[in-house]
Amino acid sequence: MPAVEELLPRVSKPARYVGGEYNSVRKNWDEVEVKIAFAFPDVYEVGMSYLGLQILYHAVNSRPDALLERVFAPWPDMETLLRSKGIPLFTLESHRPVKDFDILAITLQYELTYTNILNLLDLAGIPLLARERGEDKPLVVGGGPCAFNPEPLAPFFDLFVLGDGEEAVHELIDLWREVRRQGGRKQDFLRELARRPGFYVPSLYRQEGKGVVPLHPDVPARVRKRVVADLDQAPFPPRPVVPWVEAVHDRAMIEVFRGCTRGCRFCQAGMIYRPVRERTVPILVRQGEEVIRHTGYDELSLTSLSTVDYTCLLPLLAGLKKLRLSHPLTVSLPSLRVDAFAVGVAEGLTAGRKSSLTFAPEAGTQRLRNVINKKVTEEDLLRAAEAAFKAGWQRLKLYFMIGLPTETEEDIKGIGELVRAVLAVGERCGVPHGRLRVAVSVACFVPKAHTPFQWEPQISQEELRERLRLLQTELRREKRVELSWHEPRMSLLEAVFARGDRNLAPALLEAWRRGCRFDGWREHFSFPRWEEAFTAAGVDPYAYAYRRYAYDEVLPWDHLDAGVSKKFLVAEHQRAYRGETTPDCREGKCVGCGVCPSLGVRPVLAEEGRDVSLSTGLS
Amino acid sequence: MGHLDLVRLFEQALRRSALPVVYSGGFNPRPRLVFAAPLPVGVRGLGELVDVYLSSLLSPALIQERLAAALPQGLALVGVRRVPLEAPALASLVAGAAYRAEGELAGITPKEAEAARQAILKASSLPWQRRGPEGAKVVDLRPGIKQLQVEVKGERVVLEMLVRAGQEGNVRPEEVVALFLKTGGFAGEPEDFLYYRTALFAKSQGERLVPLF
Repeated sequence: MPAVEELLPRVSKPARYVGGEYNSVRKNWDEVEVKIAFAFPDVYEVGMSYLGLQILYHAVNSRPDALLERVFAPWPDMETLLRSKGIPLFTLESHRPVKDFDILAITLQYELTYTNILNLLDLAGIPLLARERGEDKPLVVGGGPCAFNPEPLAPFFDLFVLGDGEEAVHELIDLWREVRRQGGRKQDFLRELARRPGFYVPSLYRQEGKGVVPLHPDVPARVRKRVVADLDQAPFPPRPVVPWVEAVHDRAMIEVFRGCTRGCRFCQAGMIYRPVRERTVPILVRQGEEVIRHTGYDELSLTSLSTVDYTCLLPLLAGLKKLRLSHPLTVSLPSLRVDAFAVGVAEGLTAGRKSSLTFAPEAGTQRLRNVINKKVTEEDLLRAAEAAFKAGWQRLKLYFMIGLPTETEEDIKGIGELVRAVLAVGERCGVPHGRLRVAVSVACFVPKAHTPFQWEPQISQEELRERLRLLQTELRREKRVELSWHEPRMSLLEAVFARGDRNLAPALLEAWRRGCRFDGWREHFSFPRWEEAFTAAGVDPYAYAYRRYAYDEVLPWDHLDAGVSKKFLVAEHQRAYRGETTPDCREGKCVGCGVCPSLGVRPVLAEEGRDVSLSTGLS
Repeated sequence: MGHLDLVRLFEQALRRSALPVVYSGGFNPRPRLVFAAPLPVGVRGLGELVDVYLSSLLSPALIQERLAAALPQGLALVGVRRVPLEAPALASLVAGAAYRAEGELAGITPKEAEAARQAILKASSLPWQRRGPEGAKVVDLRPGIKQLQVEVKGERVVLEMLVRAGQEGNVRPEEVVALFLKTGGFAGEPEDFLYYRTALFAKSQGERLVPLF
């Protein structure tokens, strides 16, 4: 498609659209039976940082009978060009129109990419509504964390995949091949797939009240998520695609474990990716070596939801250090646990360069930290800060959340006090006055499906802004504090879609028609346009974000089973209000979340001689 | 691709090649490499040059083989030459660059194109407004344009130019094309052209430019 070449000089960052990167795979189109386009509904540099894309790229392209090519959301300058020249959206590998593929898989990472999804479909020339797509149009499939409540997107998708994708994708391809070879239609394929775990076909269900029920007796009432039981056996990309231009996270990655059982009550990832499944050290060292050799990165990130919790972290680091590479390598952790041990680990990794360290105490008082089950004390934080300052760091970054359930003025002031206490530690440790910095980053609480706080309302915009002002006042005199926060109106939209149902789809469509794109980017986000869209669609967004959902009401995601039982979530929600914490099941005691018995899996820890499975079957 | 991205890409390729590259010191060691001249975004390089420092003497053929295998498609390693350590750095030698610009202009005739070329080369000065980060300023492009050739076949126009580059200043190929369009009164935009840098030049015996590779 020579047309693409001519577009490139007219857009910013043309490298986003060329393809052909090192380790990218280009297959012979005519020799492959099943063709998948994989869309990340944000810009190239963001999407290329996403490990899940690399995993599926590898899994599918390893099959001789299938191919997977990438496509990202075109930046508005490219969108304008594509539209004015009538060029349909194309994939990076072959520059073929997305509509020529059998399947368009779209990853659902974040609610504020939903308008980009509609835009992608439109630019591809694919009808937005699933029911308007004929047999000749690609099957549109969604997956990722937002698939655990995909209802606002239901009319636009043919299928959602729940949970780990590595095995499900093969099942999907196999069945597609089979059905197509027998001359079957999309509907035959979807009907068969719907009976299997992990596959949710929204058109086979309808919304009844707030809940969603199957239309046919052979369609299951609840769809259970997929879990890869043994990550050591799961495919991992030894040759990930190396982006042309610097990605947001521009480094090699290995996934140390999946799942997290710390049990923070606001955290969706901590619930939907259960149980914890660790990889073993020899596998990780081998994967680390391969990915470094085949990419040429000088940094290896050990990813997971909480890498310092990895039971064999020190042996892993020792193993990586022993690797005989032809170039220097830095090992890094995406986030740190709030304690001195974590700082010690970080210090061992930095080899002198100390830019800044990040901790997430999340709340300003012990009372509120107990409510959210963030088992970190002020002492932990101050000790961690002390260790960091003594080791030579001069800048710390602290993550907090405001608008959490039960939060009061005291808790906001508590953030200020905690930050001042950290500054005092810095002074005491002799950090030069002009160098000492604490960056405070504030997110607004967003109630998420499948969490103990799924019933909680989000506090109003006025109240959120009031609390932010209070915090600003608290920290006003501290010149050494850099305060930043997530835009509350974006958080509002996140809450609306995170807890939304099918009635939101028309509002989404209206917003996209009004030009909403890249809503997660401040320079593109327009709340007035969204307000107009809600009004036009006759939808009250506040009824989703600000309303307390009741325990006994059917929730829009109740038919989707992440393994964690509702009983457990209710119990956790009640413990939150009593200020009681719940331990991590990795400590040995099962907390009865329900994942292991319902999914037939067990936590897998890499630590030798430690058998947690004995205590988990008991719940 | 921006210049820094190209540097990043070469660093990665050198690490993948496992050649005995010299690394910079400091907390963040990087392969020691220096490009002769940054390639502007949107321009395709057909003969870019880079100095790479190795810690042991390897045959150029071996380096060629190992590094070529580590480069992504679209980046071909044209050749490898051994340069003594005491030789001046490439970047300090660059004094000129050859560019090719290809485009289509409706209704253009070879005669008109030639007239525009002549007008440019015969002008004693060519004031040009250049917009930079510190606002607009007027520069004279004429001394920086060393050679200019224009070929017209039907509507297809190819400009070959040799312009000043390096430490004494740069003339950008799209500036020359814009000048050409303006001088000839042709309807078109510099953005409608495809640009190639075909070679880099050094000074030899005074002002004469000779190819660097």
